[in-house]
Amino acid sequence: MNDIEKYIKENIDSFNDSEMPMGHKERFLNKLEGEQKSGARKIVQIGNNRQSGKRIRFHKLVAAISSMAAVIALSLILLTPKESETIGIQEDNIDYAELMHILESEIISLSEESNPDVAKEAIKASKRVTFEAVPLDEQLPAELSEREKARILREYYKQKTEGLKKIKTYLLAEQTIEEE
Amino acid sequence: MQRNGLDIERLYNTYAKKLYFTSLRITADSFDAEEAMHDTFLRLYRLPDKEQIKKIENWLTSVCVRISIDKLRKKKSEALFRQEIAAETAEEKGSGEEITNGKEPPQYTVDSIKKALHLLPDGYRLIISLHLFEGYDYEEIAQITGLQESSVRSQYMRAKKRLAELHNRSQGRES
Repeated sequence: MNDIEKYIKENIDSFNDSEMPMGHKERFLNKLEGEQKSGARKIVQIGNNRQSGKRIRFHKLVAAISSMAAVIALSLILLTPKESETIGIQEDNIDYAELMHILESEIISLSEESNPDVAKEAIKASKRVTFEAVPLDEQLPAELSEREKARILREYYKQKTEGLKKIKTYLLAEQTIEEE
Repeated sequence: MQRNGLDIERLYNTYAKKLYFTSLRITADSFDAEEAMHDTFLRLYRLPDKEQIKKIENWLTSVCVRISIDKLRKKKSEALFRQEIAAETAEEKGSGEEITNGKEPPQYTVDSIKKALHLLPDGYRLIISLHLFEGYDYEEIAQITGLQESSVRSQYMRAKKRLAELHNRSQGRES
């Protein structure tokens, strides 16, 4: 360990002990109040899907999910404009990008109660599903209409959320097996 | 404000500072760090089953780190670490500059290290933040960044060296 590493480790709390921006708490409470008022539950409640006894082949599952998401995104981009116009823009009111983040958070919290090896695999898998070296919305051609972009992004994140739901189900199933 | 048994405001009072500075080390931007910190608490607020969370501080830190990294990625026009690799190539070709000139050993303070951290390229600063400040191991960092574990190791070594160089250089300028 060099000197700078040693200094940081010995004084780590001091690095979190400076002044924060003025008014930060007021800004947060305003956002929280806004959240309450809008009743921001656009997201469908995720129930506890308990499936006991069925082991999922994790690495194959995740590879399949990631490939599926990429293929669907690509096929949606390649659709001709005439075909895309026939698809309705609002199939549902779910914000799948936000749902993806919520599912990821739930996987993190479930992992804390799981067997460490299982937890590690679950976190790794969820990272593989959610990882984007460059966000998809930055990769879409500029020529696409906003409507088309929104549709592609919705389908893309919907596939990712399906993958994360499977990971969550797997974690819940593993916890059930351990309890038995 | 209570929701499903968790007092969000109380949690904010307890953990906001830690999360803010965790995010600031990653994003190097006060506005982004505050947003990331706020988004973390709002995600907790929206979570349907909060009672699943046993270690709230770990959960908050994990989520805050992920949000901060997303912010950093969105701001960069190219992938993280590409600049760092280019910078390393330039260094290896040799600037010939001596950073430590045999004078007294460097005097570290929290402020001097924070300034040096701020000057680090984003990828280096991210790895230093995750490993040295947040305690993530190389494997975890590899998963988060998409790098190979061996690359994380070598990037960390380079990042530490670069941090020390920047620190010593800024001290040399001031003295």
